[in-house]
Amino acid sequence: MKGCNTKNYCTLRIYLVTAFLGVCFVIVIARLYYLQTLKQENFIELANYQHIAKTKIHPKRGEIRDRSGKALAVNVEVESVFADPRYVEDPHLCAYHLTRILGVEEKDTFEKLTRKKSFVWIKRKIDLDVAEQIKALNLSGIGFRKEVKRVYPNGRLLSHVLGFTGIDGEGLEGMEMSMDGVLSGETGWRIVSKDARRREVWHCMPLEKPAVNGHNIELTIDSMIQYIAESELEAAYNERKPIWAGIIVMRPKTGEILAMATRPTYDPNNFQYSETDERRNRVITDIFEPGSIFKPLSCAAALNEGVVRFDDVFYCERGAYRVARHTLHDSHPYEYLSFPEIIAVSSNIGTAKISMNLGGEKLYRYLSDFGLGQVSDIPLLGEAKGIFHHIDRWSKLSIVCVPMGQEVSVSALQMLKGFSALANNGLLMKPYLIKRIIDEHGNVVQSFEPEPIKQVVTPKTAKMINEALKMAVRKGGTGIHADIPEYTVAGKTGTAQKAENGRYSHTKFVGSFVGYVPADDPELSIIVVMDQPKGQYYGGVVSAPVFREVARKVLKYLEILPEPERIPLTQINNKMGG
Amino acid sequence: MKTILGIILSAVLCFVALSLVMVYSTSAIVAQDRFGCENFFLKKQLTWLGMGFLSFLLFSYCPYRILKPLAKVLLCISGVLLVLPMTGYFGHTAGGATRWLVMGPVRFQPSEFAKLAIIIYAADVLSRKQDEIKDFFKSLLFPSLLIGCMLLLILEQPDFGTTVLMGIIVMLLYFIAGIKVSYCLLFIFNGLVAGIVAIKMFPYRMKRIAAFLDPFADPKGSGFQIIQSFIALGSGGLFGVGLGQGKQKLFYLPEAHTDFIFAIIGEELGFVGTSVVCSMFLVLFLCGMLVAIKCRDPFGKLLATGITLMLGVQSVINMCVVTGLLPTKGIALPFLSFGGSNLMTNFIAIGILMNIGMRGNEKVVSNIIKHRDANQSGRNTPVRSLARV
Repeated sequence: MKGCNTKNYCTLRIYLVTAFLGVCFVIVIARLYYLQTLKQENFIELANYQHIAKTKIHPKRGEIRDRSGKALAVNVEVESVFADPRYVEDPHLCAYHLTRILGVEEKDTFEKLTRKKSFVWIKRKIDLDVAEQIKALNLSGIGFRKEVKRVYPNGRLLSHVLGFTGIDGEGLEGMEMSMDGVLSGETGWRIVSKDARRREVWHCMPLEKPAVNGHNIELTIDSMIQYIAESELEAAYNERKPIWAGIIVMRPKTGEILAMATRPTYDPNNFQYSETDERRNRVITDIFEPGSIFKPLSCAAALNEGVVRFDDVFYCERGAYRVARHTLHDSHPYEYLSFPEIIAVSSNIGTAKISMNLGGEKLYRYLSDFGLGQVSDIPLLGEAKGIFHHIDRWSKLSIVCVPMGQEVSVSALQMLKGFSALANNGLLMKPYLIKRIIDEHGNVVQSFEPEPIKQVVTPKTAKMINEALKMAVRKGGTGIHADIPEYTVAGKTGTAQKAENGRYSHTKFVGSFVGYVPADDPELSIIVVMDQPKGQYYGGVVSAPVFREVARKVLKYLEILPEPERIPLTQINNKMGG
Repeated sequence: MKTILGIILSAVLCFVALSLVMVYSTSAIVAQDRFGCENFFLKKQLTWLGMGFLSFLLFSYCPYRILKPLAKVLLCISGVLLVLPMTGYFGHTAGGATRWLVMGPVRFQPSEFAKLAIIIYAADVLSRKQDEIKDFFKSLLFPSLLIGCMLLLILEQPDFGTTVLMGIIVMLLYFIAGIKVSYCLLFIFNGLVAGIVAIKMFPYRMKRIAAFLDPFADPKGSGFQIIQSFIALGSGGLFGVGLGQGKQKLFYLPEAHTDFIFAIIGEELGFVGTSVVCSMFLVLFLCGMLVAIKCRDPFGKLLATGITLMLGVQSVINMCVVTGLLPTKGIALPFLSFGGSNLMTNFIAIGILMNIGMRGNEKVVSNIIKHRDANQSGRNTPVRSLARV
């Protein structure tokens, strides 16, 4: 029967089909075996490549504070906007909105939004309220990332010392750069799983090394004193219009730097809008011939060696003295001047005669001991060594030029450092800027103490120089503008000709003043330098008043009691001419 | 027969249980991200599962023979359902394809129901025209054209995978029903030509073929999905990374909870899991074929074959796609993939299959019985069941 045949035939065909499909199943299992066990390694590698990511954990950058703990450089949380161009639906509209809110270039933004990338920054470190505005628009493909911005709450105050950081928080200038290792801390990492949209996925046992936050730095700077110094300097800078002006306030007994300022200046919060010149901390990087402020150092050397005595009198050649085929001049002609008078009236001829008594060798040794030609090793980059030639290279004229501050160049810090030794009974202290380094929990990591370098001259010598320096700011001395009624001031003016094309210029001067106060128990030593002021250029006129104002205000701030009786003027004043 | 049906039922229940676990595992994160509720897909799947069970019970109780006279009606209805989304009134577009028909809160794929309708119709026609089956042009030309039209409609959804699947199944049914081998070859040739034309017409299909041949040529574009599937399977290894621990479902592998759920099973349960699942499909398939072989009613036999083939071929194709043996197509893994209409269809199919297993050899007063060996069928079927028909 046909039906029966068909049926058997059908059954055979069913078996055939079943067998065929059965084989297919077996092939699938074989293929699974191949993929899942034989090729497993390859795919696990691929899987790890796309699932596992090592993410950095950024440490918190340490703060910079002043000596009393007031914040000078802090971190503020801000938002950064980025785009994932793959998910940006309408780049035109998106670019329009971003331009409107962020004030970025529309063309650039559009180009960024259409890049074939998965991540591109639109604008970094914007304020939270601006970020809110963008978030409210709910633009697809636009994301936000929390970042930390370095903020200097006092603006331009102490900007040269603090420096600033770049967009990724790396120190670029000043303390931020030189102490970057301490401030930045250690970057940690974490191995995490990520989903296809590069979001972190909770992982049962993430491998991680936590970040170590940066340490906080406490400076020796007192922000109040810094403020006083900066505002006085600013006023003088605006009035005298020098190329640059600088001031350093130090505590001579310890070497702590209480204030350090330079004009022109800049705002580290917006450093990108400033010139490189404005960012230079000139009081340590720029050198100048000190001129007369150098004389006390040379004279102290002679006094200390005993080649001259305090009450020796020198004939000052009526203002013109021929030496080594050159003629030395004084600003006013003098006949006989005692040792302290030479310093008080700043006689070049007198200083030359004193130094010739001392001799080059010893002068060189003493000046080296005062720290000339060496860096002070403060934690700021770019400190200048200055120019101080070795004795072998001295000319015949050097023995007259060097003692009065020519043929040598110093930085303001170097000068103040040497001068402060005179204030500190002849003991040279190492200037320092960092009081201590503390970790995030407030534990002291490192503490800096006053560090004496060398007893350069005896306390007795220092006392005598002190007397001479007191005379320099009294009536008849060159530094009369530095005098403060309530306190005794010891100081020295300097008006150095600037070298120009190998000759000394008669129109360009550096007017400076260095001094300490109160003279018999010094709390402050201050140097004020003005490079090439317009109009008046005498150090006693341009710099001494700055010293006076700063010293008076700072002493008041420090609550130093005024001295009840001022030493009466000596008869020496009557002898002085001019 | 009871053992066979028991195995089928337990296999299906195992699949359902595994499906719920895996659908949750694969879709929770995606659902949380997209709908804010990690159970979104699980809930849907559970709803469809409930409806699927009801229809399973319905079809396993009501005799499959009533489908025979209804075959043409069912075909017409599913034809209309296929046309509806194209008119744009009830359509819902997803992934570039208007495959869904929306009716109130319910959304389903008409092509899924069309599969069953086509199989029922083919079984009906083939069983009726068994005597003249050798003469193709006389007996099967018109029905073939009708089925062809249906396939075209499915292709227009567009649902290339289902079209190919149904083409293969109908052809296998023809073959089993006893058409000449020469016609079979002609059909295969025609199918190939039609397939090539269909591929050429749509460039995305061309890309899929290229990606199939060398997935690593464009790892971020057309080869992306298959490479992600490989990574899922490969990183699972022998025992898998553990249930719920898979990472490929975290937006790496597209369609992780639907067409590519098998890859995630491979990742989380390893080769052990995949081979067991694959073997279970094989067992289900073999049992289904046993039901067909043991059935003496030609309609039941062909229907059971068609249904079993539908499940078997579908699962093989899906697993081949996931393992990179076939180019990517949108074919779900029966019972395991997320997808309501598919689950429902499969449950109806299993219901019918169970019914054929139970009633396939009952004596029926009809003209077909004349061609049967009465003694043989009588041996297996108790006499009292006659009264029920």
